[in-house]
Amino acid sequence: MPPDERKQAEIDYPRAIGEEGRAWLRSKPFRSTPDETARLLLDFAHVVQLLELQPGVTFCELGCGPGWISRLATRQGVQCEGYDIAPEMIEIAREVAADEGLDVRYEVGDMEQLDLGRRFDTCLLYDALHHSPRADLVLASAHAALKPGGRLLLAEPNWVHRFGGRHASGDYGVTELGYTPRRLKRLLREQGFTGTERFHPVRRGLPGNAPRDVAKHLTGPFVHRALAPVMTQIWLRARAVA
Amino acid sequence: MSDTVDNRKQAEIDYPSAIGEAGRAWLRSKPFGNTPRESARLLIDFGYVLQLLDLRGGMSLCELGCGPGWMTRFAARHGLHAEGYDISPEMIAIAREVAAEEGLDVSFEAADMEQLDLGRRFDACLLYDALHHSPRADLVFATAHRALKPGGRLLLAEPNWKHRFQGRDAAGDYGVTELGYSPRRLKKLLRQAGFTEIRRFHNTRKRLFSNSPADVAAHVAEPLVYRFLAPFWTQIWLRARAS
Repeated sequence: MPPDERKQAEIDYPRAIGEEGRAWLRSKPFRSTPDETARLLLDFAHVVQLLELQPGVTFCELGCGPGWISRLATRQGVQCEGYDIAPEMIEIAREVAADEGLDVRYEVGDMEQLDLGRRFDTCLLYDALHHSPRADLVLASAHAALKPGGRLLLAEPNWVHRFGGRHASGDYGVTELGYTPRRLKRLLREQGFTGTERFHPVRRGLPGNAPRDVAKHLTGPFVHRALAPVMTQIWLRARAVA
Repeated sequence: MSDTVDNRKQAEIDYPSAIGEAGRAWLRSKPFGNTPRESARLLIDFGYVLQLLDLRGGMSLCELGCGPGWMTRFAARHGLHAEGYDISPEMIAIAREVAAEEGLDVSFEAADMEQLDLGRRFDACLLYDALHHSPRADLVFATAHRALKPGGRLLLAEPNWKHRFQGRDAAGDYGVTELGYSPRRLKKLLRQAGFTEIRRFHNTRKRLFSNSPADVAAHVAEPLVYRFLAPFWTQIWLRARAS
């Protein structure tokens, strides 16, 4: 697909998904199923830990969508900016932030071309990179946003999403890719990141004492690590070189 | 005796005024604005509360000993009818203020969780880090049972019995009650209060592990370590159903 058409589909997405879809964008991460809402809150908690978000830290989110992570990060005391290519997403993000009395800056921006001037301590790409076939340009934007030594965290679906995401691609024309950890690590190196670490998301419910739960609990780490390429999200953290 | 009870309860009531401005600021911002680890721990715990109580929009939840009410407020955000109760009017004042700032429709009332009668109208009841402030777990469970519809679910998350010693600081400084119950004792008390289907959960899963050798080892060992050391190390999470 030519870039213009591809990007237009992302821009049009919030309008294409209807009233119910937009209601979810507004209420995110809440008001979904217990499992889904818990998963998103846990993910946010892991973002907080992996980027060490605490009062005084500066943070930018590329491809922030309706901006829920940036809003929660603002509550955590972090100075946040969120960027998304869809003006309608940014409008939702601003409205909800205003409703909640939060001071977050949201701007329309194409994460393949953004130059934020190396002023952030931390940068997040959460479920965003797979909307672009040009991960190299996106990672260059992340690098251009970060202070020397600043940290990038990216959380992405695994490559099964190439197939799992076909639904959204077919319905809305949006880009839904799946990258392998190996490819992402290489791209990170090429864009000037070092010290890339991979993390294994384990975010299922708490195990009980039933025999099945005990078995799942004990084998969980092995199963997750072995099946990670097809089963779990890819979480990578890297540092921007001076 | 009643003098002692009054003193004990008065200390809980006075706690928010005793902890100073910085302490109250934390009560307001909770779970946010702390160290990344502490804020994350609390948010993760709320995620598990959602899952274990299967909380969905339209359900009703009451939280006993809600303190500044952050979990109650999160539940309201999630679309629940949520009510929070705490013995300290000052806690309730903070909870109401923050809820108003956030434009949330939540009800907070000052009440003693050892005596409250909420009339069997809730789908779910939460006791998060609250029970160990009372030496009368039996009365608190009776209150939880009276709050729940038949078949409703109680979740309790408590420090382990080591808290008897670790909590001495707060107990010494503010006179508040800081106990630690054993899972066995809690299960017995739950049964006596009319709860069934009592299940224990292991609250591990606090952080993500990397591929460094130390993290791989910690990841693989975690389930064993947590299960063996649970009595002194981890929180006790119990879920039960009201008969």
